[in-house]
Amino acid sequence: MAEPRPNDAPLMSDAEFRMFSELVREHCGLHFGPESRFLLEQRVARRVRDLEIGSFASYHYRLRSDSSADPELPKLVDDLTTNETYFMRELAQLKALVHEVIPEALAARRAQGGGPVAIWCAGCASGEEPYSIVMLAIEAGLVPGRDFRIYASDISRPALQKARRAVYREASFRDMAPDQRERWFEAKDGSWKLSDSVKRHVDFLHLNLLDRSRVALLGQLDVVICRNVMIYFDLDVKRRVVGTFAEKLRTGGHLLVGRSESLLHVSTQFELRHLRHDMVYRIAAPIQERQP
Amino acid sequence: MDPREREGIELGLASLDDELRRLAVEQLGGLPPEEALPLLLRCLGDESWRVRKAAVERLVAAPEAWRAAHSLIDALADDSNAGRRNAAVEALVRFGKRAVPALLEAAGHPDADVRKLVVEALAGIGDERATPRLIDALGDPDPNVRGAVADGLGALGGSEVERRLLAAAVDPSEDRLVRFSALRALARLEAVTPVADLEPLLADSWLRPMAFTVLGSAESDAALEPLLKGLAHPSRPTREAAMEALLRWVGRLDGADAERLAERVRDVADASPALVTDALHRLRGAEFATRLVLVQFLGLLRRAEAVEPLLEAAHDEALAEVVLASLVALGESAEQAIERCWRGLDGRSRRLACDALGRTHGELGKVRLLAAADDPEPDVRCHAAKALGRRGAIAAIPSLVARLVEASDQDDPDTEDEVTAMSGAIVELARPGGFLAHEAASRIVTLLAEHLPAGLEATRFAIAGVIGRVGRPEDASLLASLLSDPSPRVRRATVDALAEIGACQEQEHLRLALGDESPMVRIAAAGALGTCGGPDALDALAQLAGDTDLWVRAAALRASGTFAARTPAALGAALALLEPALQDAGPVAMAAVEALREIGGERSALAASAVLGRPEPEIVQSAVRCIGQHGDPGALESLLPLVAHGHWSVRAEAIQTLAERRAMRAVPTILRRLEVEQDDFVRAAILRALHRLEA
Repeated sequence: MAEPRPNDAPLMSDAEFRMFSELVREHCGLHFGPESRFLLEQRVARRVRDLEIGSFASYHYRLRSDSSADPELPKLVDDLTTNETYFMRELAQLKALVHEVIPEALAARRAQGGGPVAIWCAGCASGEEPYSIVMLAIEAGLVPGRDFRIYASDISRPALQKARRAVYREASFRDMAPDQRERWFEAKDGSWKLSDSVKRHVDFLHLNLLDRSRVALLGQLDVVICRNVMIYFDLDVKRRVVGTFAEKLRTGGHLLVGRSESLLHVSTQFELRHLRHDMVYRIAAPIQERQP
Repeated sequence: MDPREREGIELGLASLDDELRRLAVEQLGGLPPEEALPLLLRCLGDESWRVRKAAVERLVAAPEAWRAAHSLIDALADDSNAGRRNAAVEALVRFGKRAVPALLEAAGHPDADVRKLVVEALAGIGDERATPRLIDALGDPDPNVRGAVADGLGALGGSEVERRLLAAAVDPSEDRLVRFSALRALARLEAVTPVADLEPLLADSWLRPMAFTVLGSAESDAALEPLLKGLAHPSRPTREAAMEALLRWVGRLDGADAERLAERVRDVADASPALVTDALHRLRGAEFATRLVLVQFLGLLRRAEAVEPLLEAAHDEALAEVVLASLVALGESAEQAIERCWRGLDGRSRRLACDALGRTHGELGKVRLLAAADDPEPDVRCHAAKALGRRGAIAAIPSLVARLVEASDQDDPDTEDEVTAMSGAIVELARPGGFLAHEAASRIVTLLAEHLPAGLEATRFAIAGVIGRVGRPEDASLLASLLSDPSPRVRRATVDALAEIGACQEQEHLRLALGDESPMVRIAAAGALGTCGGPDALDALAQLAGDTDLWVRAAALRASGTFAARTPAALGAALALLEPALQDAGPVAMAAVEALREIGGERSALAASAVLGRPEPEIVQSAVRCIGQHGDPGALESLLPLVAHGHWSVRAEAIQTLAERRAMRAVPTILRRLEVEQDDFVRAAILRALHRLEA
């Protein structure tokens, strides 16, 4: 394997790129194609430098054979998943969730004597999405805890740390109206601190979507939101992840994916539903009922 | 294709949802070409532009699809569906040169609309074979076709083309649309056109702006008078065309001549206040190309009142660099204007203002930057710091150091950028050869040292890094004191810093580090010794090669390779250290192979062959690479069995190495492997290797 060139653009051989991309995919489903090769190279090279481990080959060996209490592979994944997001992203869909999906699910839950609507933001990055939902839901008259609960997960620990801290910079507000920001945030040292009245209604988990034992920590759900996450997966991983979502959802539960995403060729367990504000996917029946 | 997938495509294509139709089109590549092609051609006429676009992409990507060029030309005649026609043109253009013969055949089509679209496709392809036919088509009976031809010729060029375009442009009997298109083509070609030929066109309000644009490429000074007059013209398109043309002139002239012309432009602007007012107004609403011209023109005028609007215009990132250049051209006037409007600027404008002030040289700008280093917005502080570093503003040192300490004390990922910016600026101020660098470096290190006793871990870490990058050997003692720091992170940074200032020749500073309880510190110390250790470094590394931590042992071996590669006298001792390590645990053996590769020589290659039977593919791969670089033909023979190795990466590496060394004896082995190889990556490696060996 070629050695990285610390003071220059690192140059991974094709074989090295394949070895790292396969390893990462197997661990967490992240797919690195030729178009994202540069990112993978850069991030791997940085870890090689930080660890002073000498070469891509040595680092690969370490990732593969590491059995220490503080394994390296999750740290690399942390570096590879620094996804940027912002408040009120793809607002139409969030409105569909708050004004149509949650009220409908809540009515169904109440009819069955159930508790609040359970929502899982799978791949929440630094928390802008689940917090946006809480803000919109409160503005729509819903009561957190009584009407809905939000669980938010991500594979990146630094992202979760940021989400829990809930202090954001200007870039997170590109799609948020100034008056809304004023309502929910407090200016602090050039940043914006989220009000505790929103913050305390999101429960965060560190979770790899391919790790079924960790996903099992979540109970049955009414809504799964996984937006702009599966774009980093190949078809096989998408199918596995969507299969997991299908297992976690109650009958009639909803799945919200990004505007540019589709379940065509990924799953037949969901049907597309046109709502007033946007389109969402709905599961027809729980998976165990559909199987012969 | 799976029948379910085929059914999914059919359902998708018939869906009312355009997104589903688009996704179905994406899947058409999975069908045999004879089935996919008619469907793709049909989808070119879809009501959704996204579906049409996807169909074009699929069509272009389909093998041999260019043979469908005639079908696409037929689609051009579908006057009921403009989307289909446009998609067909786009596909023909994307087919490129292969579509040219079919298009030339269709150039005489009886339908004028088809002829026009054919011309557009030929122009889009830009193949010179089309030039004679297009020139002939300037005589087409339909003015729309002639206009398209003129535009199309603007993509081709050539002296005959320019001559014919000029003839069309100045012909008073020609349709005005065609004359306009001809002028636009001349402008696009930057054709040098006689001013006298164009003068009659300046009386035509519709043709005048484009004629001005053409005058921007004229060579005769006679073009300048009408252009300068044009700046004060009541018509906005005329003024803006004159601005663009004059900017081209200024950009083309040498220094003094350019400045003389710029002065004349400023005189006109002084005498025509509406010119500047309107340009400032248009910075907000005009389309991008016009705003680009306006930004440059306002920079040329050096008007202070333009500064704030220019900063606002730079919110469009595509304009930011041009705005910056315009602001820098304004010099101290920009500093004064920025000072006046600073309080009203938003964060983005303040950041850009800092970037501009980093390139101006006035005192006022420096004072503003010093204040901006304490801006409430972190990004503004970062830009201010960089600008201060760039200007060599030594007065900023206390402020930058304070900010570095404050940001690093937070030990927060969000403040990493600020720590990086402050560190970079501080190091810039102390850069060897920089302005008053020695004095600045002393001051920096003194201030940083003051913060060491009370600084938190992240701060001490940052300070060690900055002192290392400042690079003064006399700071070795200060750094050495940090080798007793309670934090292993800080001690590691200190070792790196000592290596950076070249203090490891003495080695005494590193002795503590070699015995450090933290593996990461010992690893850093090994690396430092390998890179810059003195004559006794190998002895110390030999001790570390027996470390209980296998990653430290690996680092020691790797460092011994680096050391031996630059110290030939140590070669024998280094090899004696490395050879037994080849039987050690994986990471250690791996490091030993890499060290052998760095040292080089046939003995290294021979030694590396000892690991070819190990189970770890990474180690075997590295050994193959080592043997490939340094082995004799006999050593290369040892790679032949690896062509059938159980791991794809080893097979690929061995095959590639044998080909690079032109090991002809490997050809039969590689050919046999080709017959059974299932892995696409390795198959590709085999084919490349055979090609190379056959060559």
